[in-house]
Amino acid sequence: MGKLKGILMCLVILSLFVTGISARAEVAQSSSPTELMLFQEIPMVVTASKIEQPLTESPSAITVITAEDIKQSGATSIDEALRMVAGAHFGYVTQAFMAAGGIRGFFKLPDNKIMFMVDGIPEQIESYGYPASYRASITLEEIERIEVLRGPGSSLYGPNAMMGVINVITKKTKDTHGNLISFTAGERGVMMVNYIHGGSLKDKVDYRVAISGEQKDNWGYIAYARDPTVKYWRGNTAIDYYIDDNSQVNFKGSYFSLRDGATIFESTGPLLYGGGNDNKYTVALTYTSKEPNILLRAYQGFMNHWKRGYIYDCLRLYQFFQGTKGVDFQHTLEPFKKDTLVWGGNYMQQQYLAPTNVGKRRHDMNGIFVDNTYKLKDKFHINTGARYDKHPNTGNSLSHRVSFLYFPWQDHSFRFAWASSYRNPDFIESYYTSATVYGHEDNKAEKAENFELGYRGKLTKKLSLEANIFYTKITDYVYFVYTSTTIRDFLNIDDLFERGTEIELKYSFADWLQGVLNYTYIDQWEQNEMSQLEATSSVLSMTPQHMFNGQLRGYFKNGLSANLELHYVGATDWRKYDWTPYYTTYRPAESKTYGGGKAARYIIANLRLGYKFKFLKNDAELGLAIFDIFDKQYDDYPVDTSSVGRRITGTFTYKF
Amino acid sequence: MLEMQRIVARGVVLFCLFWLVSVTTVSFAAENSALIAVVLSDNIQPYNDAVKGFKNYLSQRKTNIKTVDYALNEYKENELTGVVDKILSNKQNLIFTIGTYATKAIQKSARDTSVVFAMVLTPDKVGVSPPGVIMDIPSAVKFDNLKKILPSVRKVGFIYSADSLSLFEEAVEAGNKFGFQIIGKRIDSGKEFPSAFEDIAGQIDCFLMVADAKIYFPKSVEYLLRESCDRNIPVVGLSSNYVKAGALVSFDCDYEDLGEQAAELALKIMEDGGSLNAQFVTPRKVKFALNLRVVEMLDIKIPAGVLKEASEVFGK
Repeated sequence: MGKLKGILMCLVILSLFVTGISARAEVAQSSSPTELMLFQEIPMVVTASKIEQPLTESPSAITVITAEDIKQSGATSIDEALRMVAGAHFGYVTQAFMAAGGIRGFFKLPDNKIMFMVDGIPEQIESYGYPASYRASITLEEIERIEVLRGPGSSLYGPNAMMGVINVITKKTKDTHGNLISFTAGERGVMMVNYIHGGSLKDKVDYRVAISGEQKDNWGYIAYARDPTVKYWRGNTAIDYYIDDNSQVNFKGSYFSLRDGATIFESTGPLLYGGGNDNKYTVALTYTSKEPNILLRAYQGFMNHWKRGYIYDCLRLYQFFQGTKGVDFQHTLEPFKKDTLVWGGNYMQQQYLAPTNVGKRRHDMNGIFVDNTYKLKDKFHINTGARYDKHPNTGNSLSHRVSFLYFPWQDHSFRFAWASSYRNPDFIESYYTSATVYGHEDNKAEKAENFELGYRGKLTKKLSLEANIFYTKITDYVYFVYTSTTIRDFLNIDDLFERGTEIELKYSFADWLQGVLNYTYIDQWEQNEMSQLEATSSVLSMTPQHMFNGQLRGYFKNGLSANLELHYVGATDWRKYDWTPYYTTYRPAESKTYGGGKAARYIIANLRLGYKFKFLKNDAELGLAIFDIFDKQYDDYPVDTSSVGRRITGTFTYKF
Repeated sequence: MLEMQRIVARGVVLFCLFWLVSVTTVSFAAENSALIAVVLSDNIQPYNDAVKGFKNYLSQRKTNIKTVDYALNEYKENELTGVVDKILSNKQNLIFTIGTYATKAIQKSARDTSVVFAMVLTPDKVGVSPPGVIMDIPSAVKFDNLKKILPSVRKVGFIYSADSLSLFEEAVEAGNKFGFQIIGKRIDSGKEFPSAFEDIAGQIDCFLMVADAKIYFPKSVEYLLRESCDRNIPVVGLSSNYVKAGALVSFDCDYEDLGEQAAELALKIMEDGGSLNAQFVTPRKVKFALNLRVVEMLDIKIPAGVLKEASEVFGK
């Protein structure tokens, strides 16, 4: 029956595209009216150089996911929206928690080698140092684009931007006037309601307010969860005040609440088993001016976790707090012709309070950076950058980037980059103390050195290609090592290496039909293959060697659209843990919990159908998203209670 | 008997009067309850703005005119003929078309119904006939505004093809009147753009883009904006989208006002009893957009007061 459904599904998809082809063939043949030239958009991007520049001039490998990409993917979270990014993978642990993976190799659970920001403000879970993407206080509808920088980013962004940077950029308040309401519901307990309102006051102020409620099954949920449904509430506001034509102030405030969340970390096991709760508050104030071109920002975020659950057979109130505050400064200038210089600095304070295992900890960190782009000739650009950071435990760190960009012909560019980056051990790796897991304050920072060659170009009018090859060496990699049969210590282990390639092809079949194919190959090895350190071989097996993504997207008449994606992820092997022995007396009936093990390779297909129409003279859209059409049961990070499978959701969006 | 005859006569006269008045009233009411079909090429914001202006004008004039909307993007290409026939069969008093696609489709088949268009660029080139309101802003208007925004500019670069030769000639004539020297370069395809720009870049203070799809497509536009910034040459873009991307300034129509102009034209034609106005009407409201970031990068001094007049300012 399942196969029959699958065949029927294929026929439906094929007929949709065939109908679309015949419907649009003649339209494609007719010439475009001249007035449409006035309405077309030319894309610009804020890149790792912190200045707006075309994608073709970026000194790093960068992928941009637009608001349209997010909508067409049928994603219900930021992590799901990144599925098509070459070299990146954020695998499911539970439906709500997708932290098994990373960017460009050395995947981990959690993925702690990436910096995650929203509008340039870092949002990390301080305890484990991983992206707070699923705890972001913004709704998907507020996102204008997501920039994914692949490779080292520390020379601009400092620690944690070791293997990549994800920068979520929200829509400008002046572009979100009016009201938007969206409603999503479907299988796996998915229900999401969002409301966004924006407006202006006397041409001096633009504002936006957004509230949302969401729930999802903890799909692949951890045993002991009282209620496998996690619930979120989000509220945020953004206010832009235009002081004059030269300068403005932006205020952002947000609140995020999570109930009955279930997460699992490879090192410390199921966290908040039994369902945990979060309250998170964030505020940020940013001043920008054109002359001089400066940015000054202050921000503060604070999160409170708590739950009542079993720890070592005792029922306890388990609570911890974490927060970050900081100040950023940046100045952009052109000291001479064809040269752009960006320099700045920041102060950041991170705090973590977990009475049971970390205590009260605080890190005060400072950093200064400089980044320069010089256009030596029209066809040749040089980008150089350096950053100094100071950390209370690891001391002084220096990271750099040197990029050469060569434009031999129009529409073609070659890039060579040499960069270094680093990551400070997080609070858990530095201070965690329990009966079986120990952090160490004297752990050194992980350091990465990367060499990269890249090409981006238009091979024909319809076909574009991006290809990168990279080589990375990591020294002082931090992982937890079994120092006895039951004790695990977070330590610096062997040096690790990787080489890899990313290839992406984009083809425009017609102005209404586009396709994308990308392939990633990553090969990792250790310096001393004879060391037989179990931790090292574990690290090397958590990244799939091959990943492949394909996408076909069509826009048809009558407001219909369709987006078909294929994803292939190679096999991985995660350290297997049995958490059962820790809960011998007071555990519920589902008493066994395993995490890790072999995750077989898999290929899945996702489909999203959309229909735009006018409702009461306003724009509306219906969407149907089928994740994993053929219901392939698979694991990204194996959890013995269940695997990932098909999910069907429907969305209604209305703007008025 | 005589009295009865008088009564009957009075009754007949009264009845005739009553009949005459009622028939006149009904026909008067019918005459003023007109129908206009509004046919859009596509459901995009600029077109919708023009429709909004059109309907607002009719509403402000308190006309007893009904409108019915059609959007051709909702139909497949092979359904187009049927849709046009259906529109024409509705016997409306006038058809208002927005955009080249709808205008050409309707003008091809409409014989007995007046058609007024708006939002068409270079109508001669795309085969659209008057009457209607075009989007082409006369070169004289552009140069008049350019003189105020960039008073120091004297030499203006202009790359064109055979398709835009007439626009080049118009620009030369208008430029002479306002004291600008137009440095032109003719090319046959977009591939020649970089070398053409290279040839004239050293001679010009400013570059004027022209609506020619043969020359300007996303890659050539990106090249132009990048090169012009490197060479300190301000670019006059085709619309505010180009200014947002990196042109210094653009001159745009007010799309809502274009719709109002079209409504004025439509009412004039309907009041004239269907006689056609055989001219294209140019936009009466022209606004301009500025990119302050480009101003800063090119180190240009914009005269005081100009900034306040700009309808859109980017790069804040």
